[in-house]
Amino acid sequence: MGFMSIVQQIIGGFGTTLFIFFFTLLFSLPLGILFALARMSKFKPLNWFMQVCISILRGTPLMLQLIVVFFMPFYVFGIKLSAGWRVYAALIGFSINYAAYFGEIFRAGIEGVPVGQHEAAEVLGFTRAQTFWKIVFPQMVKRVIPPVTNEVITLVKDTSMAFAIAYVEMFTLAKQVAAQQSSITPLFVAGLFYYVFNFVVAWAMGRLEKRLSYFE
Amino acid sequence: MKKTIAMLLAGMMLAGALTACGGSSGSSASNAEPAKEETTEAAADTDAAGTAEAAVAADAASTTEAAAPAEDAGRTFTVGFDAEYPPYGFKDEESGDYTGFDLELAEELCKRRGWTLKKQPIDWDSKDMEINSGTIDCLWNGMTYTGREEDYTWSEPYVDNSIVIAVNADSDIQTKADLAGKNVVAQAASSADTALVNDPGDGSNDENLKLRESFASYETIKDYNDAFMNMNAGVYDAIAVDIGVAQYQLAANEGKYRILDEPLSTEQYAIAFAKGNTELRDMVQETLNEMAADGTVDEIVAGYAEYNLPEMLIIGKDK
Repeated sequence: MGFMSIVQQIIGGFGTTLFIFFFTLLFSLPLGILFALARMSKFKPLNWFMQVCISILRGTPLMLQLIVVFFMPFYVFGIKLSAGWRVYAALIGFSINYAAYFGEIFRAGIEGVPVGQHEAAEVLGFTRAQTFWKIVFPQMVKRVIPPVTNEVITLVKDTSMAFAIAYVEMFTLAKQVAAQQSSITPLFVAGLFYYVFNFVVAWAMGRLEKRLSYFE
Repeated sequence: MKKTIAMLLAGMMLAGALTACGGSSGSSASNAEPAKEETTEAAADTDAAGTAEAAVAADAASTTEAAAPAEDAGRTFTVGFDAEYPPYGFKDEESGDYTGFDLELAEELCKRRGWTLKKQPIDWDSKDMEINSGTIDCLWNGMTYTGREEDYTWSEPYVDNSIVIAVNADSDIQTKADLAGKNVVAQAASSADTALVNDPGDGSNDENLKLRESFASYETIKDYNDAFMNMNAGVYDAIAVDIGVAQYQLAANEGKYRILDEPLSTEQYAIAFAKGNTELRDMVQETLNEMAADGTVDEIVAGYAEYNLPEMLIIGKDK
């Protein structure tokens, strides 16, 4: 009974929430760079395709996207789904959705690098790849940390949507405990977990930002 | 040059830096795994070969597919349920396992069949997609049979349930007629919601439809626990709810709520299988009948006396 029991039960789900959070970041950050590059591509069809993709990913609910990813193999291709598919569908859904947002943030960061930097690189004989990875990308990383922090914090809270495809994470667990105890306390306990974790995330990102601002 | 390399690494560490705070996420996630999957080894009483088979099947189920022949003693039987629906399916406080009247029945059934039970909590709104796509074998969670006869392949009804109106203990509402001009709520996609909204077109539900029109407002909410908390806080005046759930709330919050004498409707619960899956249904029904005949069902239901479940049980009793 009581508060400790609630905390103990909810802590079990915190691991699942961290799992979604960590792997979504791991996949969506690199994917976001790809999205940004495709979105800025001079090859028009790729550019347009990416614009449409980003428009859909940002314009439809994440919950719907998760359901589509999870059930599509069955409803489109007639493949019977297995239980193990839930976690993959959750990670795919989250990663693609967040990559769309990260992609736009990265694009803003890349386009914010002054044109003089490109010109200087060209004069110094850098190839396009070298220019991007050695000149533009590092400056982009510095610029995008505040908006990326925003998205990362949103992601921590969005993990609760994984239950749309029956993937039980912390908030779902908190709701189950709330039903079991017929009490609202578990929801506040879950809220506290989110807050503390996001506090740590914000602190870590703040430190990273400081460390990268070595020219100031 | 060193700086640019540092920057490159920093870029990759947008993710990496964060994992410093969640460094053990891999292991915590795998710790969380058993809690989520809730598999119950139930093949103990079969012979050694059967047990090995069960283990193999359980492995296969967790990695690829569970499309083993239905007769296979080692098959995994996945029950889809709403884990916020006590007393039929909920999270047990002491063990942390999912339990409830229906899940206990399923456990016993799997033990007898030599199946491995997997308790899969689902988003109840997605139950049709879940069962059609094969991610769960059945819906066994106080699932209303009445009115959905054609939508699934059903077991025989095992619980007779009524939908009642719950109000705050100090409310002035005494009869259904008093609900006129009040704010009423039910769980989204629940049988109470169906009872108030469904219009079969033949006038058979007109009484309830008319009742709903007399409300000042009618809303649906994600789960009944929320509904009761909201009513207690004064957001709603009354809740249309299955009697088992209402009894649970009354027992858990003594003196806070009461139930109107007149039920909204009467209905029956049964186990739902994907339409056409009569093979699995027949096996489950056969074992369930055995359990009812030798008194096991009565033993299990006795543990849920505080929710009036023994009175609602109809399996193994003369109708």
